[in-house]
Order: sequence, then structure tokens, then C-alpha cells
Amino acid sequence: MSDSPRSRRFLQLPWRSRATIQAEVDEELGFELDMRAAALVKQGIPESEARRRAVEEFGDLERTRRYCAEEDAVSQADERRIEWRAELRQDALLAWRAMRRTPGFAMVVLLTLAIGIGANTAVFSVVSRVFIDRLPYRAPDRLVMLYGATPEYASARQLLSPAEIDAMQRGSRTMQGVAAFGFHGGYTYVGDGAADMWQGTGVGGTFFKTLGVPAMLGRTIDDRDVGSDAAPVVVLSHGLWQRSFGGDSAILGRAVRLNGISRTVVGVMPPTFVAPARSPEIWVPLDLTPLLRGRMATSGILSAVGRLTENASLAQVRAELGVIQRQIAATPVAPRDARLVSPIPLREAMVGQVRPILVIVMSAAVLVLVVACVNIAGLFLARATSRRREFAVRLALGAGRWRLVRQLLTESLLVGLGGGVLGVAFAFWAKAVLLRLGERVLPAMGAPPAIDGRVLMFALVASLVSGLAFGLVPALFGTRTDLNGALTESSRGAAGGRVRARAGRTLVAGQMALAIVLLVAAGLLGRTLIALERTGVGYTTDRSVLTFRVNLSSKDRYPDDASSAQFFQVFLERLRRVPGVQAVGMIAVSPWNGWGYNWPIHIDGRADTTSALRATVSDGYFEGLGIPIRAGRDIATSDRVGSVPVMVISETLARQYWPNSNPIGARIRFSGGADSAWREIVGVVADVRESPSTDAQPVAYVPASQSPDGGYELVVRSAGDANRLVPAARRVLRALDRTLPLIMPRTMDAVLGASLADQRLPMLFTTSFAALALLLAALGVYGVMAYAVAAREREFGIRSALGASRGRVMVLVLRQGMTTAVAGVLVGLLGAWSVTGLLAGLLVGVTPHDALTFLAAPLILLAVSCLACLIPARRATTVEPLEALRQE
Amino acid sequence: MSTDSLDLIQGTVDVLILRTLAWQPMHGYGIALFVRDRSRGALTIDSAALYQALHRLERKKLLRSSWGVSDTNRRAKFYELTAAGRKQLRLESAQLRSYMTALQLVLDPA
Repeated sequence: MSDSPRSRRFLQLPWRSRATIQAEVDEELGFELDMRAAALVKQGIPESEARRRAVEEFGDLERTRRYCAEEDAVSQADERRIEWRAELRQDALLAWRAMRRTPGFAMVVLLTLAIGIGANTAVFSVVSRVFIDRLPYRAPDRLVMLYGATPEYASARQLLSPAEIDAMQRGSRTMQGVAAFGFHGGYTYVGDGAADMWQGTGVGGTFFKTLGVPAMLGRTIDDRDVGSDAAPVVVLSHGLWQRSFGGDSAILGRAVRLNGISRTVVGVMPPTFVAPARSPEIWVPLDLTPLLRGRMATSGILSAVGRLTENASLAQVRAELGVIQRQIAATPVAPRDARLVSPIPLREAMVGQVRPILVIVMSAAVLVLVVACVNIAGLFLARATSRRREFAVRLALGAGRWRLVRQLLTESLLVGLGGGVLGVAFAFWAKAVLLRLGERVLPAMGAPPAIDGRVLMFALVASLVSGLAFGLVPALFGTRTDLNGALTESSRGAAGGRVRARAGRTLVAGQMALAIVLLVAAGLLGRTLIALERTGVGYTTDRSVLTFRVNLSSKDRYPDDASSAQFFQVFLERLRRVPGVQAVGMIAVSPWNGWGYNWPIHIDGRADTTSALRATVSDGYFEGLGIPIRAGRDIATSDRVGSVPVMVISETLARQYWPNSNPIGARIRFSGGADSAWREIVGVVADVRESPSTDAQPVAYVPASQSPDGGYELVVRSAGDANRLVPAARRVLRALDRTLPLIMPRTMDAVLGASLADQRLPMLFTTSFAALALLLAALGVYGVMAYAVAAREREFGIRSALGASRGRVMVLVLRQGMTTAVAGVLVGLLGAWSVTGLLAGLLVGVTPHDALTFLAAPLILLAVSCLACLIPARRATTVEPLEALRQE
Repeated sequence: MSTDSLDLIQGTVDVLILRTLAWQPMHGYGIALFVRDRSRGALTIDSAALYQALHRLERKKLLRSSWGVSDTNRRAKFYELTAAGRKQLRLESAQLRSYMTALQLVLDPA
């Protein structure tokens, strides 16, 4: 009874194959049959007959053979599982002890890993929310955002006019609902005691129906709330309801005073609801009818979302919108030549612009994790080298190499898991940072990204894959031990040591290569940011300028041009008298809101028609925004209805048509609209850009006094922080007309911050990831060189003893380290060269193959590596010859 | 199965095997002989059922097997009870006994 399962394992007997198991069963049953046959023979039955009877008496032999083999196979599988668990426990215990023996090593590895996994987990939590999660609407795939665009700027996303939305609502057969929304702005709420400011959006009666989202409490805004005799109502977001009303379920039916109007709360939206584009705190009804009759019927002031019918395709919608648009263009009020309304799938509209940014951030995060893994692999390899006596002893005692590999892999997987746990903790923090930095770039998509089950699953997979990745190389190389050599050698390197050293240097070179890629990417994005800041947008972008919008939408109070011109003239004058105000001006549609539209223009004395952006501005606008006058004069209060029609043009327009002459005094006429008088050019102003990354467009500025509009964006320049002027501006407005809201007051830094954020977010992340990779690479070089120096200590001692100078020894070490670094850098440059094209969309003023960046990145890395090599190199020179020789 | 022997109820085979092996480790054929002799020929275990039961009991860790040499000097597989097997035997024989007592009470009322 010598080979019971336990003793079998003790003797290292191999597990039995299926065939062996069957053979053993057959042998056992054969014995039984033989014994029975022998018994029958003894009773006098002939041999052959006895054999036949034995088989017959046995019963179902074939079934028993299979049954017994099956049971044995299951038994063996059970045993294997038990043993596997025992070994795993043993491996884990060994790993734990090994880590406990080297707490410094464990700490470095765990932290490195935690940062790598944490960064990836955080980025994944955001990416999965933005790209994978279903939008919180009914059948979100059928929803489209509708934007205005021009042939020149087909990708522009301009707001739509009430007339365009009305035409789509009436004429579209491919969309079952087209809902208008807009007029985002602050609503002043005066409750019990304290006043508060809520962000609100006006929504058409079909808005919530089109999105297909019901209210959580009460109802949403629908058609009954829109109309001249409808009672004013308001729907609250879940967040506001919680924050300002403590989640009071008796809120329905309560009246709240908003901007002086009493509105009944009719509903509360669910917490998961977010509106497309901008997610406000309250929704109020928006009635298109008065807008259509009003002054701004053909101005781009609204957004729209549409729902495709069951079987309509995007192409059909686009074709239909073309037809509808031609009908509007034919009406006398709308001189929008060749303007298009383009439908864009809702998800694309919401996340399309952040996709390239998140792809870059995610790639940078993955690269850092790879660098971290390579780094840890190097550390593990060095450690495996210093543990080779331990391995040799275990091999000599009969452990298989596979068993050692498994032990090391268990160790690295455990470390991977530990790093993962720390990484998840780090991810909570990193995610908050990412969301704060990405506030202006990332679309609101329901509840903010959470570290949920899916994200944890990702972290787990990342940990295990990392553990395997950095464990495999050292496990395979580290256990390749020449038994005799390892057991008998002292500190002299055996052949296995050289292979391992080469593997270590390869790992460091790999790290260098990856670090170069990150450094180059960070450099290119950094240069872009610098270029953007230098180019700027052409106007003041700090806190000293306040901007907000005022719309005169009521046709009753402001029936004609004269009355609205009168209103704004008085408003500007009164604002100018507010203490602290230095300049005040206004523009119908500001550059940061996408300008106005391209209008065809005729230049007096030239046959060709061209086009320019038509911007309606008041006197004081250029001064208010700090746009310098290059030639001629500013628009003045003396430019009024009845005086000579004038205009001011931008430098680009001036350069285009008067490259060598003075445009002052020349005349331009807009064609195709109500404003078609010849206008005299009285001034040239500096160029202004929509955003730093766009080219300057030709602009023709006309005086608001000569071509009044119904709504303007005001710019108010102050001596200090212009945010302080908001209450005063609101008071001035209220004194003139109590019903008018001050829409979206903010200072210019907030406006421009939003347009720079596109570049700043990936820049910040690639830079910090590159710095991390640089640090890890430096650590890697240091580690490998320190180990190499330690291993060659004796050699250095002998060299010194034989008269080698300190400098000579140092050069020896530096050369070895730098050879590795240079090799890695060269590979990295090749890699960077081939991937930076992916960044092209985000780069401004710098090409993906920018020479300076491609020169600076390797220099930085080589300098850092050199520093990292210096410490071990200095150590090499201080080896005392006698000491080194005595060590043997 | 010979006609003059009793049919064994399913489950009793197991307890017979366990009881036999409590005596001493044995190979399958030995178990069959032992049961037949002890029951004075009244009980014979069908071979197919015997071997299936042996492998099943081993899978359940009630038995342990190993190769040894038989009286006739042949390689044979021997089975012995494990600790779990001993416990199971106590349990099952107690159950069987109370079952038989109950049966007797009904068949031979006092």
C-alpha cells in the first residue's frame, strides 16, 4: 500500500493519463475475471468454457469499465485541485515572506504599479461612461442634434433660427419630433430669506417627448405649457431638488419666484437625466410663436434635437432638410445663402469632439502602465538573479523548473493584485482630478463616472495582466540556472548571469523607448499650447472683461428697430456710468459663440462677389475687448441712422483686397439681405479668431446704430475682476426693463478657458505621464547599473590596483549605461516618429515631426539617464582594491 | 446471480463493502468471497455492481486503493477504509440495524 495519493505525490509520480487510468481499471477487472475462471476450472469446467462463464456472470462488463474509469478520473481531478490549492497557498506564503524580507523593494514596486493601474482605471471609468454607456433617452440611436453649417464651414455647429426650427417642425416627414431649446441663463431665485442663482434652459413643448424621458415626480413640460395663455411652470433637476428643497416630495404645485416671475413647479426629473449639450438645473417652457413674429425670427439663437422616424436614415433626413432649407431661403427675411441644417447623431454631437482627446489620454495611460511593468520586470529580474542560490537549492531538492516559474508567477500576480488594490484607491483620486480638469471638455452623460463593478473588473484584469507581464520574463530567465555553477560559484558571474544581464538591459532600453514616445507627445502638445497662447484669439481673455447677453424678444415692447436701438443706447450709457467700468460695447453674435454668418459682399469697382463674416457691433466694442485699431477710426456714436453708412473691416479682409493700398474710403455692399446700402470703410481693426486654433476670417463690422439687432452680447471692461460688476449690470438692466434676464454672465478667462481646454487636458496628462515614465526609466537605468557595478566590484578593484585612474573606471561604467540608453532612445525616436501623426488633429503651429521636440526629448532622457548612471559610476571608483579582493 | 441467493437492496452493497474492508484491506474478488462465506452463501454481490461501488466509494474518499500482490502472487488492486470510510460505516450500519429492527417489529409482532 505504498503508493497512496499522498505518497504518489511525494514520490513525484506523474498524474495518470486517461489511457493509463483505463488500463489500470482493465487490469483490476482482468484479475477478477481470472480468479473467477480459475474457481470454475477448479469445479471441473473446461478452461474456455470457464472463461466465457466468468465474463457472463460478471454482469455488464463494458459499462463497468467505463464507469470505473470515469470515477477514477474524477477522483484524480479532485486530488489535482486539492494539491494545486495547497501549492498555491505555499507559493503565496513564499511570496509574502520574500516581500517581507525586502520591504523597500515591495514598496517601490507596489507604488509604481498603483500609479500605472490607478491612472488606467480612472481614465477607463471616464472613457467607458462617455463611449460605452447608453445615453439616458428612449431609443437614443434615433436622436439627432440639428446644427447650422455653411459650405465653407461644413463642420461648424451653428445655432438655428426660430424660422428654421419652425420649418422643420412643419415640414419634416423623416423626423417625428423636432424640439427647440435654448436661452440658457441664470435665473435668480428668491426663496425663504436667501437668494440663489439657478442655471436654466428654455425648452419647447415637444422637448421631453422627443427625448422620451418622463419626469420622476409630476410631469415634464409639454404643449399645454407653451402658448400665450399658458401658466408659467418650471421643472427641476434632481440635483437642485435635493440641494435646494431637501428632496421634499411636496414640492409639486409649489410656486417659486424666478427672475421676478412666479412659476409653478410641475415636475422633478430623474437623477440620471441630462439634457443634450448643456445640463441646467431647471427647465422652463420656450414658446416659438412670439419668436417667429419677433425681431429674431431668422437669427441663430436656438438649438434643436430631432427624433428620426422608425425607418428614416440619416441620409434621408439630410436630403429632406436641404429641401426645407431652400424653402426658407426663398423667403425675403432670410438671406442665408447656402446655409445648411445638418443632422448629427446625438452621441456624436455630445462626445465626438472629446474622442481624440480621450484616445490620447488613454494611450498615454496605457504607455505608463507598460513602462511601469517593464520597470518592475527589471527589478524582479535583478532580484531573481540575487536569489539564484535559493532557486538552485530548491531545484537540487527536486522542485521542477516549472514549479519555480509558477512560484515566481504567483509572486508577481500577487504583487499585481496588491498594486491593483492600491491602484483602485489611487483611481478614486485620479478620477476626481480628471473630471475637474475635463470639466469643460467632457460631456455631461448622466450620473458622473463611478468606480463601479465594470471599472473594478477592468482594474482586476489590468492587475493580472500586469502581474503576468512583469512576472513572465524574470520567471523564465531567473530560473534558468546552471545548478552546479550556482551552488559552487561565489560572486563571479556564470553564463546564466550574462543572459540575465542582457535581458535586464533590453528591458531598460524598452523603457527608454516608451519614455521617448511619451516625451515627444508631451513636447508636441506643450509646443501647441505655447503657440496657442502666443497666437491668442486677438482680444482680452482675462478676468478684466465681463460678457453677457441681453435679448429683446418681446415684439410688444420693442416693435421696431428704433425702439431696440434706443433701449441698447440707453443701456450702454448707463453701464458706462457704473463705477469701475472702463469701456462698454456690444456685438450681435460674438466670435466665441461662432460669429454670425458669411454674407456675400460686393466691393465698389470690382466685378467679383466675395464673402465676409458680418458682425454688428456698437461703439466701444473694440475698446472693451482690447482689439487694436490698425488704421482709420473706431465706430462712433456719430454713426447713426441717417448719417453715412459705414463699416470697419478686419486686417485679413483688408489684406485680401487692398494688399498694397489703403482701404479707408473704399465702399462695400452686402448682397441678398435687407441691408444692401453701400458702406464706406472708415477703419481697419486687428484680426480676431473664433478660437486660437482656427484661422482668422475676413470680417466686416457694421455699426449697431445703423443696422440694429434684437439681441447682443455685451462686453464690459473693468479695472479689476469684472465678476464684481455682475450685480451692478443686473441692477441697471432691471431698472430699464424688469422682465429681461442677464444671460450667462462670465468673464473672458472662463470663455477662453473653454476653448483652450481642448488642448490643455491631453497636454497635462501626457506631460505628467511622460514625467512619470521619465522617472521610471531613470530608476530602471539606475537599478540595472547599480546591479552591474555591484557584480563587477572585484573587477573594478583589480583595475584600480593595476593603476586604472578613477576617471577611466567611471567612463567604463558610464559607457555601459549610456549604450543601453542610446539604443532605447533610437528605437523610441523611430516609434515616436511613426505614431505622432495620431496627434495631428490637436496640434497647432507645430508639425507632428517637429525637429525641436524630436531633438529635445532624447537630450532630456539621455541627461537624466546619465545622472542615473553617475551614482553607480562613482561607487565603482570608490572600490578599495584590497577590500574587493578580500571579499572572495 | 444464482437463483438461491438473496437480491441485495441498492445501498446495502456499500455497507457490506465497508464492513468487509473494516476487517482488513482486500481486493475486489476477496470482498465478494468474504461476503459470500460470511453470509453462508446467502448473499452474493454482482461483480459489476461491486466494482462500480468500489470506484464510487473511492471517489467519495471513503476508500483508498493501492496495488499490491495477491495470495496467488498476482498484481491486484487492494482497497482499505479511510477515516471517513470508518465513520460512514458506523453511520450506515446503525441505520441498517434500526431499519431491520423496525422491519422485524412489523413482520413478527410480539
